[in-house]
Amino acid sequence: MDILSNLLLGLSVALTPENLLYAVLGCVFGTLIGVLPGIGPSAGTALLIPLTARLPPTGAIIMLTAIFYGTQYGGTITSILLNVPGEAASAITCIDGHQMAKKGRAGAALSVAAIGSFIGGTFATIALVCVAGPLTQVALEFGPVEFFALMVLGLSLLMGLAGDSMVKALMMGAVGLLLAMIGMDPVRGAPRFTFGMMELLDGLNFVPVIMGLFGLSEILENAEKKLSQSVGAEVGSLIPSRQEVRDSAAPVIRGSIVGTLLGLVPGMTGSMSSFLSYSMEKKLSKHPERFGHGAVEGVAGPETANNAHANGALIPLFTLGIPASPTVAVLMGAFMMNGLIPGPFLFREQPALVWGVIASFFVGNVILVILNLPLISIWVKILKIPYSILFAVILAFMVIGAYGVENSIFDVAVMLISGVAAYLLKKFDFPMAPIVLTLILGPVMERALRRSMEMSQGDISILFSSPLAVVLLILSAVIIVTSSLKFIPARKWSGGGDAEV
Amino acid sequence: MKRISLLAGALFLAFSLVVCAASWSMDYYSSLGPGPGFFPFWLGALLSLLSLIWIVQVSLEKGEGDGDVHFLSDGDGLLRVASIVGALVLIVAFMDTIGFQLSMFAFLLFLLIVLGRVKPWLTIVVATAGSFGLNYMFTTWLDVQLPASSITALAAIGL
Repeated sequence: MDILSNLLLGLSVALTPENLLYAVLGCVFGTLIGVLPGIGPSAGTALLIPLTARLPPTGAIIMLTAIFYGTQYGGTITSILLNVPGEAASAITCIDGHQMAKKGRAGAALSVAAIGSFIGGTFATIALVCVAGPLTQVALEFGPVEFFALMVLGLSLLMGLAGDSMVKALMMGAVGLLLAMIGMDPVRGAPRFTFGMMELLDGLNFVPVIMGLFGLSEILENAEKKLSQSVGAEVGSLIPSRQEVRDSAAPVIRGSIVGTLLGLVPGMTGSMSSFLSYSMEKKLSKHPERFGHGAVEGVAGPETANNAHANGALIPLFTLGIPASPTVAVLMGAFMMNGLIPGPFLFREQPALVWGVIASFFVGNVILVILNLPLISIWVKILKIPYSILFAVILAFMVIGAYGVENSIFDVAVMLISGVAAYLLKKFDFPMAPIVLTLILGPVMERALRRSMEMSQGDISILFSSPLAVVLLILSAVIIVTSSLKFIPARKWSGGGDAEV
Repeated sequence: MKRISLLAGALFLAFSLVVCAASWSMDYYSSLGPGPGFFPFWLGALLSLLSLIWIVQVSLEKGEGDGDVHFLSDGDGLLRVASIVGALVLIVAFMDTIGFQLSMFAFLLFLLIVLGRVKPWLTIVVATAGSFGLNYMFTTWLDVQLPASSITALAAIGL
């Protein structure tokens, strides 16, 4: 009953004309980012945060979350029509989606993907609605000690985002934490690393840093490679055949479950969900030989899974305040920019906002189906705009976006420095995700730790005084240890004992 | 690539040592627990350790590592990257002086010429829309104030 009344409250907020407009705009921008190869969801979401700076908080968050899950829809279009993934989670769709397009079934592939995405996104949102209440009740019992342990758990996600080198991921994590230290000390107000600059007293603004790390660095990388314009396949009829509908049903159900569950797991990305779904469908298929030659199951499963993942990844953010992926971390920064700390307290203090945003996911998924099917020809036309114009215009928006946060040219300089630094760091394969995560969680964690220590007059054992905190710390240790195992070379011992790596 | 990686490792190490030194001058600990210098100091120390590990890892790599990979691309690619960075540096330097509209017009004009072969009329249209048009859109509809020129003559004509 509680769930229903909360949902009704949310729908009453999400369905106001103003919030509907923000959801539509978010879906349009999200699809656009997904459609454009070379701009990923993290970069796109970061680039568009300044657009929401002047909006009311509910509208801003509705729009930004719509941008976030809208990218998953848009990425499919280029995968199917051009064989170029708009974003990583849709890469696997290229295999069978583009083969379907070559056979004149592009429209059917796009329909199956859009409907699957709708079902996956809706399924994960229902899961969020169901678990939000119980999880937040537990989290509301948290004091500074438990909160510190929860943040340690959040930072242990770094291991999941480590990529090929744990050392590099940890280095970037430390750099992010150091950047977060710039400005006034959160407890005593002493300035740290401000070098006498007034602009740094309030700390580095999150938005220009993220715009540089993700947005500018991606543009520089693409400018270096010089993307070439591709010619897309014809869309054709949007209506799938009966056989295609029958073949898609089970993969959509399985994709919804896989995506939602993996979305909950810290460090898992949308592409992992879609890859797992694809391999599962191939394994379960009676005709695995069809995969790679235009099997509709190879589109339905992964596309459902990546959307379920996107919405599922919002569950830890909304209930516990933990971002499970870099893009969700960017989203968390947007919450904070609007003076909102995602987590259990938000449910108690701003129920209309939280449930309004959650209800907007249902609305947004409907909008995205409409945007992606009847309006598909518009997105195809956008792909014909030369990249030089797109990049120049995006750069202009970035300058305005960075400037508009505080009406300061200093922030444009911060974006530029962050972007160039990220571009150079990526040359050495340093991952950017840990910087974002620590930049956002670092100050929260430091505040929680220092408050805990003040409560105990400097006695560190307070951190282990709460059973819940101990459980969370043990869980963090387990995540760190299990994630570290992948960096230990597997050894096969044979005969005399020579190790083969 | 190996030598550049070693150089980068050394830069990280130097940076982390500077952080340690700077945080040492802040309060490290008090009766109430960690002071403002506590976290930065240990983060600097951690970064030093990680930088050293990375330097050792790179040193132990056989041969030139990713020897075939150029750190920066040659020719056209590098020119495009340098153009974008240079144009952004100039906009940071001059936007407060000549105002958003003129600086952004020049910025877009330059980038469109350097980044791609776009027809001249289209270049002018995009540069005008991206500077004067965006200024109108942001100041009128979105209530975002973009910088006007600090030169009186330019400010007087709405730039």
